[in-house]
Amino acid sequence: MEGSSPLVALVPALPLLGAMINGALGIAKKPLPRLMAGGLASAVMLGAAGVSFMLLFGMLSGHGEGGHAATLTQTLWTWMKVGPVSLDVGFAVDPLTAVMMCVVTGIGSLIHIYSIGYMDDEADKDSVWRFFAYLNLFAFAMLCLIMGDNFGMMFVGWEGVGLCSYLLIGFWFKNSDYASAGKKAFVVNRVGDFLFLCGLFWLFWTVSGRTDANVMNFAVLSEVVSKDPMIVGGAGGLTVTGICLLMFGGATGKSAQIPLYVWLPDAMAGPTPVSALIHAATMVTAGIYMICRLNFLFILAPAAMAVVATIGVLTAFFAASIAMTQTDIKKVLAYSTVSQLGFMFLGVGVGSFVGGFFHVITHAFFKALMFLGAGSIIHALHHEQDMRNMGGLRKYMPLTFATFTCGWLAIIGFPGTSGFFSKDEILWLAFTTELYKDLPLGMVMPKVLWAIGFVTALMTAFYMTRLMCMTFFGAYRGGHGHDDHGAHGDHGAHGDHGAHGHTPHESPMVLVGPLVVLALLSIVGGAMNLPHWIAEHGWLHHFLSPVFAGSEALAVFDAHSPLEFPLMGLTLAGVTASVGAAWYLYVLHPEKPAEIAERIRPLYVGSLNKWFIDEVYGFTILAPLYLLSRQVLWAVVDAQIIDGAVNGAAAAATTIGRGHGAAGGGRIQVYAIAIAAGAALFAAAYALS
Amino acid sequence: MESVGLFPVLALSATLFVTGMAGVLTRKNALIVFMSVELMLNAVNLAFVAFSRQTQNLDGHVFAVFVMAVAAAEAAVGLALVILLFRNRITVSLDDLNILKG
Amino acid sequence: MTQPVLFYLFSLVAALSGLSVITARNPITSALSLVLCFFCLAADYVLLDAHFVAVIQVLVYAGAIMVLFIFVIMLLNIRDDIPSPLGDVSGRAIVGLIVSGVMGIGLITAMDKGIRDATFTAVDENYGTIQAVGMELFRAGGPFLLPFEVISALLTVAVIGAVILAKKEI
Repeated sequence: MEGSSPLVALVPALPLLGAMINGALGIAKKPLPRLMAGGLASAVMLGAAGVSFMLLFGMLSGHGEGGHAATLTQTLWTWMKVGPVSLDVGFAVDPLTAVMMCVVTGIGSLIHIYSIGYMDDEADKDSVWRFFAYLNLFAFAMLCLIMGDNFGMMFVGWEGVGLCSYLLIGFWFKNSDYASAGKKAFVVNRVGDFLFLCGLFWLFWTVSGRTDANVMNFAVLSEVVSKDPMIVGGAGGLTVTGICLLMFGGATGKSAQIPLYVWLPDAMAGPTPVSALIHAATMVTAGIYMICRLNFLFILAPAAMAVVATIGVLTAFFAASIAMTQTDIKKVLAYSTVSQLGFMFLGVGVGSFVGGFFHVITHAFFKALMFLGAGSIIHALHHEQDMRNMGGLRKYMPLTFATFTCGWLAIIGFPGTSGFFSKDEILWLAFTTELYKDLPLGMVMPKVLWAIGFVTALMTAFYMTRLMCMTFFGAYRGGHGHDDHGAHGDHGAHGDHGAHGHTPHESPMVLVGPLVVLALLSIVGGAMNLPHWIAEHGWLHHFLSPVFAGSEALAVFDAHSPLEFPLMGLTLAGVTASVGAAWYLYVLHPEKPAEIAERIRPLYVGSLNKWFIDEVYGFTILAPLYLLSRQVLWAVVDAQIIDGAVNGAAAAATTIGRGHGAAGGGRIQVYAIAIAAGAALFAAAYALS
Repeated sequence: MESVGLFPVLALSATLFVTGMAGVLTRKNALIVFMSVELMLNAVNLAFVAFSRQTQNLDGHVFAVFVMAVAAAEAAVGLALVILLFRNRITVSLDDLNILKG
Repeated sequence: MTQPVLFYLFSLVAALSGLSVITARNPITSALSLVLCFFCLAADYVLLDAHFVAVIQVLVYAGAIMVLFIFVIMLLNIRDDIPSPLGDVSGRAIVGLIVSGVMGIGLITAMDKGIRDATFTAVDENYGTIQAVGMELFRAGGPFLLPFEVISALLTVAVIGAVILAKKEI
């Protein structure tokens, strides 16, 4: 089943090389100009993508056991070795990794190319090398995360993407709001990382005593656990549930779920390509990827899976409710991302790892597309992000409009598009899963999950249509005075370019090209995993079966329920109604939304202000923390205990020094006494021995 | 001496050595300190000779001779220093000498 | 039977005169006590069959070195004006005595453990004579030839150094 390939390590090595070249030249104060830096970064990404696809196609053509693809591995060196446990700098490419790798490098390449065009601002001329170095570094870390064959490598990547995310959110760190957005992302992620580490330690602690296998390696752990679930305390046991919940805690941080989602909307402070690559397509899906990677563990803990699904669907609903009223185009997309991530967790949570992962891929396509489309608009409008100052852009930016429409169709689930297949599969499997049948309320839960998911899908259709309408339809509302939203700019430091006097224009090809590719993928991407009523087996389903087959067999789905088509029809009808409503409100009667908002004012204000979650966190967590830090940790622990210890040590050293100085008083007999005392001690010691 | 044994000789040696040591450590007069050093050297010489007698060879004797030569050299230089000191400071008290103070 | 009696007698005198060296008020008393001590040690050397060393002890130590001491004492005409050696009991002196005491007890105890029962055996009549020591010292290929030459150089250096130090003007 396993083969070794020297090409594997090339995939992460290429972006690392790019980051090192750009970084080294930049640090040496001889940075490459934008075109060369971006060209280099894009070239290494294209190289990595080329190798990735080569490996993928190699796996498709080569057949391992039972017609399934073999796993490719490459171990560079041993990082550390303790007893039977060995952490290697090693990579393993199984079908799951191969697909994810292609998504990351493929979309990554497109976004790198897009960035060359996007980062053309004069003010960034001297720091653009940093941007591309970070972007390459991110790709490297992400590839480590998904390709590492053990927990060590995954964690290195996990932290690495967090670091790069922080660096890129705060790319324009001269604006203190952006800098603190980066810090917020970093700190919130830290909470999740802590939980993840705790889960990892618990797992290691539980397993290591019971087997001699190298349990830090995913493949070995999978084999060991599948053979004997008792090694993690038995299926459904408290231990495995606890471990899975802690690891899911890590995922809520990285993948922006309740309660740790708050950093992602703020992360939109970064340049738009960063939002597309890191905060939509790749990094934020790391949590789902991790659960997929550890599916053999999670499937043993139905209670933990229920929590995953519940948190996922609640996050989806909650984020969608906020997205309904936001006016910043990137904020809408950000909450939409949180919401879609919730769908993915719903998918894996009900036991459909393929479904969740399929949505990761399709979401990567259409959300990257929409972010890049938004970036194109923002670029054309000179860093205007407020949708109230857009409108009618379809006339000025036809290509952006066309591609954005593809993304819109995909996300609302228009039949035949990629989003339709993936979202529908998740909803359907949520409805039919029998994973929870042993839990209390286990028979009702799938229906509730489906219901919330269904409502969320309608809300998604509504707010995405609202975004389309406000941005592309109606009349262009920019171009006149704007004094209340200067700070919303992607680039606040730049202020007004005087752009609003001009009509918007279509973006250059370097921006639009990637949009077109992603638009095609968004439309046809669903073909990779067609549902059973079209094809016998979806390709993705088949390809990933070596990874998931064992686990999905445990999560039984009632695949032939007669309700499938009625439910699908219900969803479609609801979505159509939502779209129609949004169209009615925002295109035909643009004055109506304000009236409705007035009528349901509490809801509107709550949604507009993100349900005051940031304020609640500030009041319940940050304020006590600050109080503790200032009044206790700083005033007492730091100023008195630590400083006291430091100053005390200095004072003690002074006193001792003075004492020694007295001993060195120049009296030769005092010295002689010291020598004689030493000799006498030796004599006494000899006498006593 | 066969009936005396090694121990009384070495006990005398140790007594003289400790006496000299006490003089070195307690007296202030540089000359008396010097004499105490000579006493210690002699105590060592006695030990050399006694051990030499015990082991029936002459190495200890040779060493005793060397020690005497070194003691002579030391006395010559040391007394010259005392004279020099007295000439400059009108004292031979070691308590008045603390120019080594760090 | 006379040998032990003589040994203990001389040893007692040596120890007492040694004590006198460090307790005497007047440096001259100290010096003369030291001469007495050296003579007694010379006698002990004879009893230990170290004839040559005994002779050298009298010639070099009791003769040359102590004469030098007494010359210097008289030259400087110093008197120890301390009423008693321990009259000005300083902390340093007490510590010095304690250290010396520990040293003495340690040495005696160690010897008591190590060589309590070691005895002397008879030696041939040539042992310790000038001839025997000379043969040992100057034996061709022996280990002491170079040290002997170095000692002579040391003495020369010491003499020159003493002259340079003590002379008022060169």
